[in-house]
Amino acid sequence: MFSKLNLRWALKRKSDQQLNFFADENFPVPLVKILNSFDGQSKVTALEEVIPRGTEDEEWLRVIGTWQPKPIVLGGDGRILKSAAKLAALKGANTHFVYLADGYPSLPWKDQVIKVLKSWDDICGAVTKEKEKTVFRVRMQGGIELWRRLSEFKIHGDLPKSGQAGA
Amino acid sequence: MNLQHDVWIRAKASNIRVAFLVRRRLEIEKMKAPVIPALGTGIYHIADVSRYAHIPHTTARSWFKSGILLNADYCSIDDDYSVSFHDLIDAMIAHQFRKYGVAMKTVRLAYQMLQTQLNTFHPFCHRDLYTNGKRILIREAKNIKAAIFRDAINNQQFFDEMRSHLTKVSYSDSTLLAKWLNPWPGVVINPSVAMGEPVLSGTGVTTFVVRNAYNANRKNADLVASLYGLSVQQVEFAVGFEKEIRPAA
Repeated sequence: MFSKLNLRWALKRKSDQQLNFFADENFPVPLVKILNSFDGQSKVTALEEVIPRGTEDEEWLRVIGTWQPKPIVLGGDGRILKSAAKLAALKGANTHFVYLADGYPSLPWKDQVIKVLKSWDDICGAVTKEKEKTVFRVRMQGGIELWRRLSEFKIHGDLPKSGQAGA
Repeated sequence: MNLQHDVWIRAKASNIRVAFLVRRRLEIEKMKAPVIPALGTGIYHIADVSRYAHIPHTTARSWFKSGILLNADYCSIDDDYSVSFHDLIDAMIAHQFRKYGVAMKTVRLAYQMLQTQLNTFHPFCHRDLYTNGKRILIREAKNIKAAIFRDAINNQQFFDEMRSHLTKVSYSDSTLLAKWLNPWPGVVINPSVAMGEPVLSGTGVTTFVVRNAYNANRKNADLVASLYGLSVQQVEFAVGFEKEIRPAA
């Protein structure tokens, strides 16, 4: 199937910087393999390659936080983009996040692959350019947009209490 | 908390023991300030609470937004109002009382009394409610002068139904509070995984993604299973659960 695709955009990267991506569990595993095949400069690692499946969010973010170069998280469930509260919760993570728009899972698998590959050069370009920790959205019509900078969220409170009322 | 409500609670506190409990609860209330949403505690919109706890949307919204029954753990971010996993479980149990006709004010009073009894902001999430719920609520009924509350807790069907909900909850051994919820076979709502979205058990794959992929790929469960590293049965679990909570979608 993929031999029939025009993959010029995937083979010809504008940026020569080596990028390290980390795909969460909602990002299709075969798509990780396809991206690794077509972009020799970047490395995309699926969560299950390094951490047991179902690992808690804080734990995998802590683990990838120690990697060098710092990985960019690829997320497959774009509903997070609609929740400012969820985005604010990511503020502590020292990395960029790239989420597929929430319509991506509703695309037939082949269309999903084509759209992501078409956007791949833009994704790599955008995350290379952006210095501040940012959440990006891969648009349904292709391409990427800056969604929110994590520094925009002003945090006044502390971490939630454990639920115990204390003495 | 508004002044009128305080006055009402104090008026209800017709004996010394209740007055003590109310005073303690007011102290606790002061300690509980809304905080920024964080990883590990679950983040849910009111619509999610409505779906996962089977509460009408307008009811859930009025309970949290007006603070008429429950106060959310989180402050709103950019006008985006969210609640925590413990808020979700509290709402689920509060809904049981309401279903049996217990007045809102009485449920709130019971909730507040239990906050002090069980020493937690989220008494309906406490393991004791599952293990000793009947005993605890019967004890509280003596303090709460509301016949309908006593009637509800004297109704075995009420406890059976509440227990059927609480059976789906797993509790933490350290905090004794709800840790995750099994709303459907093979599906878990764990606040620490995928920010509390329903996921397939043992994975971080959300049921939403699986169901949409299933529908988009001509209901080819084998293909979807291979895309997300699942079994066909897990795909069926996700589809079944999503059909239950989003029947119109």
